[in-house]
Amino acid sequence: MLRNSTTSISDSQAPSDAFSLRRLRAASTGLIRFVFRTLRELLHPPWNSAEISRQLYEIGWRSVPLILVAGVVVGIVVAQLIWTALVNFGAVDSVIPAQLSRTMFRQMGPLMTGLLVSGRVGAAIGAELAVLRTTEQIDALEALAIDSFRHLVITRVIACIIALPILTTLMSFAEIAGGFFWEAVNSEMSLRIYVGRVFDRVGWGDYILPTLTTAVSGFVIGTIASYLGYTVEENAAGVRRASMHSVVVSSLFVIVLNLILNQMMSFWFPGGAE
Amino acid sequence: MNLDVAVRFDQVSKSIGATRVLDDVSFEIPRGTAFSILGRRGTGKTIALKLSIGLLKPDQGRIFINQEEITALDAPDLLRIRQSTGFVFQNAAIFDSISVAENIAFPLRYNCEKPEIEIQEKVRQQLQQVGLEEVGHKMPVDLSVGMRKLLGFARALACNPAILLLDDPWNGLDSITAELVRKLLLDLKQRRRTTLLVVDNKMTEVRHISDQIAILDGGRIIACDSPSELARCDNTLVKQFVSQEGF
Repeated sequence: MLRNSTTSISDSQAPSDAFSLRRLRAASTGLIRFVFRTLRELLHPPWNSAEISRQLYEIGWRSVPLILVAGVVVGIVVAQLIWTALVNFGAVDSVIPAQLSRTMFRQMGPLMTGLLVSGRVGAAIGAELAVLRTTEQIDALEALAIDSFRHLVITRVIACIIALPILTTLMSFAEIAGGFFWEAVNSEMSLRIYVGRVFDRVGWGDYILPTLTTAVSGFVIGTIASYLGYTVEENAAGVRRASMHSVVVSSLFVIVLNLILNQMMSFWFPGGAE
Repeated sequence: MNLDVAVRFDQVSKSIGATRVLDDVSFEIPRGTAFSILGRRGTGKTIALKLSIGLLKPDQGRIFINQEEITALDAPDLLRIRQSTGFVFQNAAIFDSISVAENIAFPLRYNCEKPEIEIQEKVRQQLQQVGLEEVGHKMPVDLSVGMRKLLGFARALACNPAILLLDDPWNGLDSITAELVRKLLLDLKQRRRTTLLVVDNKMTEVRHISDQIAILDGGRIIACDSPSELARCDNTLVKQFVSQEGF
């Protein structure tokens, strides 16, 4: 009896699993094709500079408040964590600025910015393009002899590539400012001494390379969110799925990408700027 | 091949999922004439319209626009072909993030390379033509369904297309606006020699503007003739279409 019922459950699930696998394979193939098409189009200017400016405003400028607030809060939290971990070893106040700046510039800044932008911008791009698709506005662009891929996708991807390094810089400095607030309240360290210690142990190498690699995160966020929105086929459910999957998939890619890039940088530049 | 043919479908078939929506459909539309495809909902009329400018690809068969086979063209060439066509969507497909006037200016800025002052003048003319001159500054969300449809007309006509494709153009329009659209289409056909391809599910309006009407059922064209000849057709479905509208 039990055996029969187990068999019947397995049988009923089999087609559904096969369907999901088929959809996953189709989506992966579609994403790879989409990435190659994006790369190909990125290499062929001219791009729509007016639309890129508009997207930079939407994606970059309008993310600034979120980045600054999150950066200050993360800076305070990390400073507190470093203090808690090192308080028993003494001279912790002088260690916090240097530890904080290296952590922020090399790891936390790029990672946090990537995650925050994939949450705010990834969802927005995914949902916006999905709505344009389901309301036939993408078809309308094509019918008006306008290349919808270049107009909608390439402009957003370029805006993400430009915005991410700038937002990462803002995030890193906001985190360092957060660390200063914590220091100022707890150890009454002056701003001049704090800034001196922040830049004592970091060099351009700690800032430039990790920050520039966030352009890759920008490409990943822009491309994945655009793919999920641009290729949606259903209606309201499709928009919801495109928005949700944009955040989930691009966040995962950003985390993995940061891990890989960090490992590569540690391998090539083990001492950072030292 | 007849050089005066604007649109030609040659044994076109298209499936959506497991359903065969169009099955071996063939017709041709002489330049400067109006051709309508009538059929019940879900019979593949919109698919036929989208196939005709390459928004969808057929599974079989060939489609020609101005003697050029669009089924064999790549994306940049398709965009070139579409510069000579206009498309009025069933639900208007208005760009809702820009104003009414900007919706019309948008294709002009992209395709027509005119100075801004001429673009603004053209926008004003287009809005006036469809009676929307008072709402140019508004956002599409502030317009009624009928007004959105009229804006769709104005946008499609902005670049003076030689071929105009219309998906259910009278849907959602009141009788006065429907009359305005009918006159506009007749004027386009007679004065500018614009080729019209209309899909609809009622005979009421299309019989006034069409030179040829094709009845689509089960993915196949079951009758194709002038409106007066269709009235004499023996097919039951054709008779239903004709009689229900007091032909």
